Amino acid sequence: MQMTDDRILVSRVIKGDQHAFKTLIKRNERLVAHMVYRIVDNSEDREEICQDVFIKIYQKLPDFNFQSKLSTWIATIAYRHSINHLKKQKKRFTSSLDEHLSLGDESVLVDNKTPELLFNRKDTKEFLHHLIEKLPVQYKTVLTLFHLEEMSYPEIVEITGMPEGTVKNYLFRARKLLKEKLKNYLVREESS
Amino acid sequence: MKNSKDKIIQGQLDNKLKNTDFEVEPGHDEDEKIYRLVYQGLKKEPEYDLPHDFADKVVTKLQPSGLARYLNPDQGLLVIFIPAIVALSFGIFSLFKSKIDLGALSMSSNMVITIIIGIICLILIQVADQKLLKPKIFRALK
Repeated sequence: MQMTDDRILVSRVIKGDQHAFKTLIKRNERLVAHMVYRIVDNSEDREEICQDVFIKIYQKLPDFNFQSKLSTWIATIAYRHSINHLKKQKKRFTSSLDEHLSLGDESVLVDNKTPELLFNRKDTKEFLHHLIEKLPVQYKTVLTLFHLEEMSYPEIVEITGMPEGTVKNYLFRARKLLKEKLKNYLVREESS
Repeated sequence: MKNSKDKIIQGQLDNKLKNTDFEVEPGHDEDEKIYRLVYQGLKKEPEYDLPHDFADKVVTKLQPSGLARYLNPDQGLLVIFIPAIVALSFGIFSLFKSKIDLGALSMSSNMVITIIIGIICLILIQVADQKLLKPKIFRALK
């Protein structure tokens, strides 16, 4: 049903229907914003990157052949555009996480100077959100696609270009890291 | 050993992901309780502040300015080429005008040049009509 709806919408956009394109944007701006906002740190760049993503979508739409879901294709463009932006900025991006990071080396993954004491027990979710923001890009990406967008492993593989094993591994490691950080935080809170 | 426990808990929570609201229930294993909190937190939407007129902004950004708004890239090239060809024609004829000995026709050489340029212009107007105006009229009538 959604697929048919998307086909009609896409064909209208290709014919030059601006209203249809606005509908496409409104339906997918949340997805694009999630991707861009999780990957790009600079808040000043984010909105413009989101705009550029949709312009790219508009330009490439005639080539889209519905071999995947429209949302997967859009997320792929948002992911690649954000990563390219990061590469240009040469900021906090490492091409191979494994070379630099391991679960045993949490100081690299999450800033140990996190002002944990600023958060009280009620702010557990805030603290967790803060931890997620501090994760490496690839971790944040797979977590966002899996938990927030509820995408399947094949869809995440298509979007990120990572092998399925890597996606699963990053998901596992990221969640384990978050659990351990949160556990330490809660234990400290209990004892204080 | 530690990893396998984490794998089991994560696997169980992944399986329940769609059907369970991850409320922290008392009596559960400590790690599982914390994992439930993590899963809850991961479902929380990150804040984003796209303006309400974001779609309008994108569409505006897509609009080309000036003449380009009305022309596709091919038509744009045509608009550049027509004056260029006319100018080139003038250039070539004025260059050869002094060198060509037209004999008996020398009196009317200016007229010949004017006629040839006129023919070129007529051809270009026809091309422009086919490429630029008719598609626009048809689009307007649709």
